[in-house]
Amino acid sequence: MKGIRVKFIGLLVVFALSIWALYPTYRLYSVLPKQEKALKDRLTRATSSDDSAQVAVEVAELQNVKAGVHKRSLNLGLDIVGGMQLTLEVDKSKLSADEAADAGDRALEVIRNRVDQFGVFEPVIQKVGRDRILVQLPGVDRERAKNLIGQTAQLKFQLVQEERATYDALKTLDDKLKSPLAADTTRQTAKSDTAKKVQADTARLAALFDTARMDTGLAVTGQPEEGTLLGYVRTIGGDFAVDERDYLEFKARLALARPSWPAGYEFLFGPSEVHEGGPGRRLYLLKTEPEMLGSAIKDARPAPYQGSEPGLANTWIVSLKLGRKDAAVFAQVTGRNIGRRLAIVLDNVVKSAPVIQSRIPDGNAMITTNDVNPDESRDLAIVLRSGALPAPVNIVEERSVGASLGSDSIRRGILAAVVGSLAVVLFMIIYYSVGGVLAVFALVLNIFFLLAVLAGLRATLTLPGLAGIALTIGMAVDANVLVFERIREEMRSGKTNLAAVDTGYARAFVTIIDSNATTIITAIALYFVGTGAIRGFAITLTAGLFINVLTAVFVTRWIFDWWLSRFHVGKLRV
Amino acid sequence: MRLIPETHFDFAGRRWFFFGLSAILALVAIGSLVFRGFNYGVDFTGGSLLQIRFAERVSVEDMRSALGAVGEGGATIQQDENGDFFIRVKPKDFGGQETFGTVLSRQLSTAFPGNTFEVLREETVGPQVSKELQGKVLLAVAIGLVGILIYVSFRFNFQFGVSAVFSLIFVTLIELGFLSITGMEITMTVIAALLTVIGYAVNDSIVVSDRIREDVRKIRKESFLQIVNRALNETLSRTVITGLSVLLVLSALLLLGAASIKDFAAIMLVGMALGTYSSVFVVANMVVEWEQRFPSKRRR
Repeated sequence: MKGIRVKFIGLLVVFALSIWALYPTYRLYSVLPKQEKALKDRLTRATSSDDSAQVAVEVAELQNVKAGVHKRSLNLGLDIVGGMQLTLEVDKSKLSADEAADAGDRALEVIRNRVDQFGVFEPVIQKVGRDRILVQLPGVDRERAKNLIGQTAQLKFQLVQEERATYDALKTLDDKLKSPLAADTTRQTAKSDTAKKVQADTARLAALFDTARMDTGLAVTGQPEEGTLLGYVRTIGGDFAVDERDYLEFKARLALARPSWPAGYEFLFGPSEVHEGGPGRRLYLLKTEPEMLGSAIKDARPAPYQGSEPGLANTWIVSLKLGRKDAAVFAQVTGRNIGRRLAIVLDNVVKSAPVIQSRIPDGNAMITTNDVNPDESRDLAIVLRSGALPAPVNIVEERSVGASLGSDSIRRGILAAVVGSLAVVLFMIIYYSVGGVLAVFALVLNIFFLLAVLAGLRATLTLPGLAGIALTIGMAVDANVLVFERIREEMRSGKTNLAAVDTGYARAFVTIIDSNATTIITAIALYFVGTGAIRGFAITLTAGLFINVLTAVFVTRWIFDWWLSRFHVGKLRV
Repeated sequence: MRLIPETHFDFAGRRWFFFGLSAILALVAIGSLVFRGFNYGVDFTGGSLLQIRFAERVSVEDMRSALGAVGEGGATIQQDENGDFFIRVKPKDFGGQETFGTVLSRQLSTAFPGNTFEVLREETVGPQVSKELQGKVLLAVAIGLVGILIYVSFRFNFQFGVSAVFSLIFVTLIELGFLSITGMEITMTVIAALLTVIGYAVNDSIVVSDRIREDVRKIRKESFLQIVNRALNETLSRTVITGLSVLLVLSALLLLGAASIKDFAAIMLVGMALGTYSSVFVVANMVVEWEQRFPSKRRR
């Protein structure tokens, strides 16, 4: 009996792991929507603008939590939840061979950059083949998606305000915001962990300003209070920044204060980047009026540094060429602003903010990266060219499914599946009595493990995926039927309970292995040849059948053995 | 509880009757494929599909005239029991950011003032993508069949391998004939259902073949034909019980599911019946016929 105990403990461990893998999924689909709805209700009931501002901030907080949970849960495909899928093809007909070479990469960069700001959960942005791009935007409707993808990229060069001015601007905003937010004390006491984090950030910020005070004579009066904009701010490489988890919340608060932004200036963020303190985004205060547009760039290439500065030896730079007319403008801009920073802004995201070192008279500029790795310079060159050389994309495939259609068919599908499964459960229990109960147990375990594995693989469940699960369930039922029919045959030939179970399983095992193996072979062929939808089918089927062998053959067998050896069972009824 | 008593049907003895029946089914299917063809969905033909729901029901004639106004009078229009329209048009460039959906939406708001509508679904597939998809589905199925041939030939023998693959081709052919005759729209969901059917058919063939293999090893006194008959009778109760279980689920899907699920269930139902039929009357009987003509050396 010792062996059995080990097996059951093993099974329990797998079971616990499965619960752990599925918990985020449970939260995502049952807990979080309720909280979301509660917030929405509050928003409709809100009586003052302060109230709705408060709710907007809480919505942003919830979105953050949701984003975190989303990353660890089983996602439903576009054909189930609704959303938009686009396949884009880069139109190279009007580009020269040289321009066409990385047109796909430029288009990808532009689209990724935009979707990233858009706050879509689990977007898929992939290059398929050489110049096709697949974009999946769950839960996004057609108009929004088209707006997002359809526009041509906007590349601008904007002057960066110095840190002190940024700090002052944030401080002013905080003073203006103070009254409504400070009024809501209940929320702040409830969120003690946030408060702690804010205190830690505040300490970091204070340390920064201790040194800053010495350099620039910046006067900091006291520490920033929690719940203020400054309370969120930390630094990345000398720039102000916010933690990724605070980004949406901070952005919402900043947007609320928009009327009080310094006139002629705007706040923009950098892309998400990982730094010592975890992922975050840099925050810049920029002059709204651009100094120059992206169309000024004639070419931008990554190149190794060839100058004489010893500190830059072996590093990579981006070499920039400007058109004749634009070179004159650039000479003026650079001449007037030596020592200041000029931000390269693609679709309202600050991609880089190099310091202007000297006046550039001839339109041949260089951006140093201080990096021996060419990646950064290559990425930046793509960004610069994407503004200069638009890579036009055509939509070759488009699918949108309204969420209402999705939810309607889901509800009916679930009802049908539940009714059908209950019918099978009843039938199996009536027909095989004890054996039927075991078979149903094995079936439930099978589905549970399968969902856990899919969640663990971060797979996306689509309709063809559900078809794969349906086939798995069918074969699981069949496996048990094979076993029980075999045991019955052995019992009829006069064997004892134990012997009948033994031979029954042994004989049926060969059949089950062969039939599952053949089906897995088909599934694997489908996986390697098929496209997205067929792959979903292949993955669920393959995983399901492996689990099927475990649950239908081994687990029921262990329970049978345990039951027969532990209790005095009369004539076995399966 | 026991539904199926011990049986002694002579399946293999009447194999020529069933070969004939199978041949007729296959001919009907091929005939329909040749003369009727398929009702391909936009996944395969390219073009656009719109699903539109109106607040107040709109007749097909009114919809047709609205489509005529935007130059798509030849569109395929279907209306389901809820009054939802399914409109399909051939691939066409509407210029700029315009799509069939945006063009038609504008027309509908002027044609039916006071009636609100919602575009529930819009799918547009370029002709290039659809051609690639057709090729990929065929290739996937072909590679799957070769894989099965190799595995079954290795685990059983070549006769079983060929018979199993032949049976799958038969099932697929009849199923395609069924799709062609009913005029069901060929979508990705239908392809998934078809793959599922092939999976079930493989499973059935293997279960039957496995029992024949076991009995051939165990029983030496009887002729091959008798052994096959015995194996088929022995597995009959399993065949019926499994079939019944799947039937229960599929009927629930058929009765309660939404439109796309109904199609899926209908294809599966036909496929299940076919798979079971073909495991007994195609695979087993082919093996018997083969063995009678070219007795293998192992059995003396």
